[in-house]
Amino acid sequence: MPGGDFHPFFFVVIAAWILICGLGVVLFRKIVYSAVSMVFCFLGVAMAYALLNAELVAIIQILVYVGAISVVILFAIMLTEVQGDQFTLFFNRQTVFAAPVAVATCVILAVMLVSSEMTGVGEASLNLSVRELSELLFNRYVFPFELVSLVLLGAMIGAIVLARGEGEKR
Amino acid sequence: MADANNSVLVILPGIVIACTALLVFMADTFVGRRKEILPWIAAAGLVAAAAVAAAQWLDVDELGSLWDLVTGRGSAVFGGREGEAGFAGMVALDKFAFYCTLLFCVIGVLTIMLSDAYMKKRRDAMGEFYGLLLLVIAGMFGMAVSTDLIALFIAFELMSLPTYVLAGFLRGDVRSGEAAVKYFVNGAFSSAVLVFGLALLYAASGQTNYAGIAEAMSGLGADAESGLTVVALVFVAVGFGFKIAAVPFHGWAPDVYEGAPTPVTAFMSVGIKAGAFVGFLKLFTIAAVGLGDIWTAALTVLAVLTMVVGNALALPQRNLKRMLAYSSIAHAGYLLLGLIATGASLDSAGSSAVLFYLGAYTFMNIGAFGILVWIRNRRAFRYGLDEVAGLARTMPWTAIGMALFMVSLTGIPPLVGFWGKFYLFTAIVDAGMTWLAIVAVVMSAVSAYYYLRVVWYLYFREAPEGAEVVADDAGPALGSAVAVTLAALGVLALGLYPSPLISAAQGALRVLIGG
Amino acid sequence: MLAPALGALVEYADRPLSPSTVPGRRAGPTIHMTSEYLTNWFYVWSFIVSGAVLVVLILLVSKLVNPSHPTPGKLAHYECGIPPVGSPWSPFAVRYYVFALLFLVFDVEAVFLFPWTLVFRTLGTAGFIEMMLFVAVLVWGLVYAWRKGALEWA
Repeated sequence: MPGGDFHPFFFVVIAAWILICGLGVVLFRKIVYSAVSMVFCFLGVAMAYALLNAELVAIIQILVYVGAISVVILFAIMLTEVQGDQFTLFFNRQTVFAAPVAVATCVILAVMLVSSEMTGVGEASLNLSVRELSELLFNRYVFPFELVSLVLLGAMIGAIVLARGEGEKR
Repeated sequence: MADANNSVLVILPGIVIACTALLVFMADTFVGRRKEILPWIAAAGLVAAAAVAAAQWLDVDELGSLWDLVTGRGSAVFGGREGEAGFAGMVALDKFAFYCTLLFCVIGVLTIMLSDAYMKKRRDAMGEFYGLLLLVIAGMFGMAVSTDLIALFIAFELMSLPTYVLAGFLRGDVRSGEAAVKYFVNGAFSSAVLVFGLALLYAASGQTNYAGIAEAMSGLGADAESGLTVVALVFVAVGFGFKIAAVPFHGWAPDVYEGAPTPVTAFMSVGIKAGAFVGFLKLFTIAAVGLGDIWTAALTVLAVLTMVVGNALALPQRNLKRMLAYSSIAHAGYLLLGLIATGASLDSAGSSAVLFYLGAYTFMNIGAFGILVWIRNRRAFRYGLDEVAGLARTMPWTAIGMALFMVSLTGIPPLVGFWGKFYLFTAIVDAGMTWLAIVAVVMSAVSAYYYLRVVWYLYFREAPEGAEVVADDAGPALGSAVAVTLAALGVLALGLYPSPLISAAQGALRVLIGG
Repeated sequence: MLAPALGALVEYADRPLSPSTVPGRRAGPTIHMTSEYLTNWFYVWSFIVSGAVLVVLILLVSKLVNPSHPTPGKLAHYECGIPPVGSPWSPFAVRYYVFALLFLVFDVEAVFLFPWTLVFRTLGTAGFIEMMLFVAVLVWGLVYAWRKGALEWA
């Protein structure tokens, strides 16, 4: 863990929460249950951010992921013609290959994170106040910030293109 | 924001492209039925952006001394230099970016012309198509100028997101939808992997700025090659590997290239690949220049796999679009050689060979896909190899063009494809990895089989029954014909006289790596 | 009862840390967990927990307390029109999706507005222009959607 100073008990609880909800996403047979499980997973991640002193990110996580993305996902489920419990996992045949790869990736990442010290990241950047973060966003990182508006524009127009039927004329 | 004016100047070509995209979107809602003005607006915007970049480039060349470089391993390359960097080192408009901007504009204009045959039948969607295309090109520009991890990632997303939509542009077509979904899922995954790698790179160095990362890494000395940096660089390489369709991250490419509308396929195989390579090149040769050993090893594996598998899988393909998709994978493998050469020798020859190859590849591949668009415009065509049999008799000029692009893709002199491969392979030999060059040459020989087989079909096979010229309802698409002609001229002219492009590519790289 | 528990929690968080025991590992950066931090979050946490407990409690109590003697007559629909036929699960019109996505896009935009308001005064005119550009691009998209008829319901 980077740091190791934050309350281990809280961290374990939140990590378990995220893991359980994440498993729920992939294991539930009903896709709506998976979606709701994912909402709770998002909440857990927000709590993890809060625990790491990243209040702004936690709030963004709740506003965007819990508030908006989950709605979009539920909408997407309702758009499809998947009937309640007829949904079956279609990746099953690849489990044999996917599972070892996933486990290996996990092990490598865990070993790497435990064994390396992240000396490059200074104390100041880990304990940034929301105000300092905002200053950074609108001064130093203004170029990516403006690029984000173009990305959002692309997403918006892409959605319009894809949602419009081929035959509809305008 | 004391340097606001300067910063705006630095990204001026990108601003022109983005504003043109906005203009195209808005014009779309005002022109009513006269949609055919939209591609002209889009193309004019790209030409204007290219003109701005070219003017800035000339301006920079006069001030040559400003742009000279601090040489040496791991040293900060162009961070902190006033006049070229903007937004507090977030972007840098150097000769590298100029070259890339011009290249992207050429790709964009060729794609716009090429899509003439295809958009004629879908006039209602013209605004979205050209606007989204311009947004992608703006993202590619962002990749070329970014010198910061965060800017790089947002530009990467701007480049990717509208492309998913373009791949699925044929709304009624199942295969196009499949292409969009496959591309989106793979692309989203690759973005996640990439951003994770970038985050680890930040964790290892504490910097988001390329120059800052290089500095922090050289400050760490031997500690820099820790598990953290290895994993970070591998994740970044995997993220980019998906975008450039390097084996084993190529799984999506054949289906997506086959299902997407052909002009979009041409654009993806050239533009997205160029954009990703440019970002890759800039990140690795500046930020991770001191860690060349790590990423050279990772990329060598990728390159060998990509060349061997890409060419081997192209052999049995009898669908031309699919064959070109696999060939495009194989070409990503050749391109990786240039990066490896740079990482192994810290010499800019490999990277400038990549830039040259991207330019050469633009003409040959857009041309090859353009021929497919053109044939389909003139008669019924499902991209089958058998369907082009005997084409030399019915459409002699088209057959000549097709043969030209195939020969150039094989890398036979005196066409531009030969020079591209020549510089790449020379660079890798100079970097002391002759065995890789041998693999590449052998694989090029293999590729000759499936490229020249097309030529064989064109000239020495009888036309199948009932294959007569049936013109498209919408009439001949002049734009597509012009695009193919320009690409053919480019392949020929640059093949016979490649030095301008070569010197441009070499000049562009002098800024990146001291050399 | 809460105060001593909170005190103990704060004491635990502020405890002196033993130096890192991993050999060859330099002490990395630390994330500070001050008592102020804990008390601030304590209210948030207690709000979340008590909210969740309350919901479960009410449902549980009503389940335990209410009498349940179901008969077919009781389970039948009561003055709710004709009994439904088929699955209630029918796909939505794709049109709704555009609205959901527009909502998402403007939600993300709103998220950027919050930190902007915090530093609005220190940023000055440049900050104002930055945000106006950002908003203008998105409004441009909205106007486009509007003029294209993507917002029309029918």
